[in-house]
Amino acid sequence: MTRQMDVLKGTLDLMILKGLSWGPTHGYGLARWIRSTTQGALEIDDGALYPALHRLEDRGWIFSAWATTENNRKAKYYQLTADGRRQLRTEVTAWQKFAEAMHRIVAAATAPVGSQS
Amino acid sequence: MTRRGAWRRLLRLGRPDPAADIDAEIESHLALQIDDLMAEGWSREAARDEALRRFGDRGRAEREVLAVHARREATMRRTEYLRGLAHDLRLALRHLRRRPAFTLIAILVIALGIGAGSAVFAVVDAALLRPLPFARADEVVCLWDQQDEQTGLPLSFPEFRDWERDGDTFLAALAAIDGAGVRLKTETGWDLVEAARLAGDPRGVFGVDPLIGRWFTPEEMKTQARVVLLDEKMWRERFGASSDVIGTQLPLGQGSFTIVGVLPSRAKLFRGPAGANVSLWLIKNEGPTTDRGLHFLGVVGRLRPGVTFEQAQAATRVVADRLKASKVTEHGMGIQRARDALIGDTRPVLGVLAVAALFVLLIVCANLASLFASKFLERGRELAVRVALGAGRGRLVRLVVTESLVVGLAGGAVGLVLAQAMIEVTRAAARRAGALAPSSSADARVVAFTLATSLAVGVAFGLLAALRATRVDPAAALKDGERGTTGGRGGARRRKLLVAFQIAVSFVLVAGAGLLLRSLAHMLGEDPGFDPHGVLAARILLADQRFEDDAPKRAFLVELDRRLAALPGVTAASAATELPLDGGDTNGSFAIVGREEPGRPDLQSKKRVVGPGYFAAMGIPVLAGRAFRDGDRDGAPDVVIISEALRRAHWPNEDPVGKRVRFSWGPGDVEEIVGVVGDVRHDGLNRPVDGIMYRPMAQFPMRGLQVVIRTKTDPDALIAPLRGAVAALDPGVAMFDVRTMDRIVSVSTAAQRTLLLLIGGFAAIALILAAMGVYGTIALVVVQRTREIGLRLAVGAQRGDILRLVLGEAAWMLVAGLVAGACVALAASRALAELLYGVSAADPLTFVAAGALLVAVGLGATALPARRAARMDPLAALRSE
Repeated sequence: MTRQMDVLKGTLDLMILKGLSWGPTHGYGLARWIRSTTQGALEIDDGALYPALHRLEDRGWIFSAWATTENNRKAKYYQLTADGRRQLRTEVTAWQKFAEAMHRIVAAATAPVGSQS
Repeated sequence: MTRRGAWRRLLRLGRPDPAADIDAEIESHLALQIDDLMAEGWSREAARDEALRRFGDRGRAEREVLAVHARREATMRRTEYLRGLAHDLRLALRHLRRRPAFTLIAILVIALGIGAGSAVFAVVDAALLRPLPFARADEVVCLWDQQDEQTGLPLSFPEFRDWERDGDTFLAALAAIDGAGVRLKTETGWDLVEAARLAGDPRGVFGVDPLIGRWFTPEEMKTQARVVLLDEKMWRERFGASSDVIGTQLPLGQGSFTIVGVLPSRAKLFRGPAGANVSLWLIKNEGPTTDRGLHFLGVVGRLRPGVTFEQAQAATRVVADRLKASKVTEHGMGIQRARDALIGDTRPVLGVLAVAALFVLLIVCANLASLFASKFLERGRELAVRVALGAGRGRLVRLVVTESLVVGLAGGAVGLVLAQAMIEVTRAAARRAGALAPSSSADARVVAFTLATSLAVGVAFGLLAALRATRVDPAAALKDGERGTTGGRGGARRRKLLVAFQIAVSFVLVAGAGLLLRSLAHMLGEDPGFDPHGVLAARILLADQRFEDDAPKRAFLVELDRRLAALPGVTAASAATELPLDGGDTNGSFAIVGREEPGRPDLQSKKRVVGPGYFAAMGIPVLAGRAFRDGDRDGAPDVVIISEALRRAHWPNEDPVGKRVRFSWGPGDVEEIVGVVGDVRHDGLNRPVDGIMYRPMAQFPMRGLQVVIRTKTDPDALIAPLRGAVAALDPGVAMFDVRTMDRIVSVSTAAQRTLLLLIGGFAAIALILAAMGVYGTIALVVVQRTREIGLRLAVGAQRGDILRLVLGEAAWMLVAGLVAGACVALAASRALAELLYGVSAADPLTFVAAGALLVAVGLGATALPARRAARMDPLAALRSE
């Protein structure tokens, strides 16, 4: 688990920012959204979200407040700030570039120069 | 209401405890998960387990969240602290600007204290703290011929050879150095420059590499080749630091020498205090150097690696005993660390200066503490308002200390400028006293010391003041109106204690300065044994090869004496070797014919060679027999004149005239005593009188000499005729260093005068500060007791009663300070004893005078506020708030 959390730390920020781009929600909402969107493929512990949420809040990308859910339970809601939106756009662009590049590598048909066959 | 507005409003609520907050957040997460799972049909138990499983490591999540918060808290605290500091700083600057007179005085007081401290530090650092600038400097030692426990003489050449040979058990290298003036040919004529001549293995001893070129080779040392090393200063000034000089010829009086290298200036330290002006390094020409009685070589050695100084001392004793046992010599040998040799007898002076400077700093702290405390007491209302608004005592202390630090640093900056000026004075004094002089400007170490002292002083007096001024009772202070806190009786007592402390420390400094003054007066009152007034002296050097032999030297010197004596306005003239009080000395051994016994050590005396007119020119009385005369020359019987001290020591009950002595130095084995002359103080006005043997110049002509002429008129008027006469007689003879004998006497006391000047200056600073302290305290007391005084006056008290009341306030500060000061001064002046001459360290007159001076200053400072109190209008005083 720890290993996976470390690997995903950077991408976790992107997931949270993206998850909040539709509007404010609580930590559980984000966890459920990630699980259903990825169909459980990433196996992230729900607990791993919270340090990331608090870190993002400290950076001023999101802010939080306690409110009541439709089922009348108290929950802490998070919302993107203007800075958070900007950050999301930056991270999405960077991620897409990275993913494309990785895709080209993985799908490559030519060998590196000097490789012994 | 927009959604955003709601969020904002929620945010404005107080920040909850982060630990409780994250705990609630996680609980809410689990609850929501359980709700969803149960809606899917899970049982409550199973749903809770599944929720916990999906959540993962709860402890870890909490820890990481709290870490995020802790980091933020720390950043915020830092920002807040810096913001507070900036605020305090602005506040401090505003207050200081609003009281320019107070600020200026405070800065000046600190500048005086720190300036004194930094100047003294520069000297002490150069002499004692800084490592000597040679490789492995603690291996370097000096050797001294030791006839008895106290006196150390330079070595004779045979002795140097003994130790070069026998000392190699513990010495890795040994070198001998002596000095000489040499003439250097220039475009216009000849210049005289100082040279140091080396023998042995100077390269091995010095541990100093040439800047360019190379050292003398052993081959060159052995054959005494005509090669020369330049000193760095000479190289820069005369050759523009060009590297082309290597291999070129340098035209000296003795002929042309090949320049082989340039030695850095620090090499001159090996020549000791006399080395400051060395421009050239030459190889010593051995010449007639078999005389064991001729002590003139400075000998420096380098210990073998791993040999400690204590081991070297023991080894020196062993070798010296062996040499004595084998009848090679009768003298012992002393060994000294290079640093001890270089700082000479200045260690006690440095100690006294350091303590005095520390005392001044202490007074400065005490003085500023009361100054600041009273300023902040005046601001009692402001401080009370701050306390009422919730400022803690720590906050107030910070406010005061910020202000004191600002003043401290400003004072330190001004002090550095003052120190610069004082370093000039101490540097000159250190030079003259033979110590390692500090560099001419404050360097990084001095600046660092100044900064550290400024901070320490700022914090010290700030805290002292703050602890007093911040004891604020806001309710009382605000009710009390304008004056706010008055410090109360306890505060006043502490304040008086500070003043008493200042008086005590001032007393120590004033008493010290008084002792030095009395000592200097005693010195100046000593009879030097000669009459310096109206006497002109100059050095001459017969460097030319023409003067290798005695005959031309003798001819020149006899003619010189004759021509100088014939100058208009001159009553007597003579060539002579070392002049009294002028530095330099030569010693020799002798035996009294008829009292010689095998195994009996030779007797020692200073030796001088003088012309027939010397005693008349110097005003030294002839007590018995006769002075030298023109007939005392080669071919005539060898004669000698002794000083009174030698007669007392060796012929206490008989007439020495006609007795004969045997010399182990120079030609003419046995000589007859023809006269006894008065003693002169040669080594210093405060030094004991040593016996002197005089021999006639015509029988023992020298090449490096002084001439003295006694004039009927102003000696300065004869400088030009003197130069003219020497040039007319022989243009190849160099003459330099023309000065009056009065000047020589004055220079000989320069070190004592500078010390007195410094300690006196410190004492004056202390006195002024103490007076300020007394004045400030009494003035405050009068202000505090205005209403009481008004009441007393209203009910019929006389002005005199009020005066007595106020003086009574001052009395115990003065008395306590004086008693404590006298005790400390009595203990401390013992450290001064070594530097005193003719006055006891516990001299009652000095102590009484110092006490009287302080009482006068203290009462003077009290009188002003006391008179103001006595003249008060009782009605106005009663009405005053």
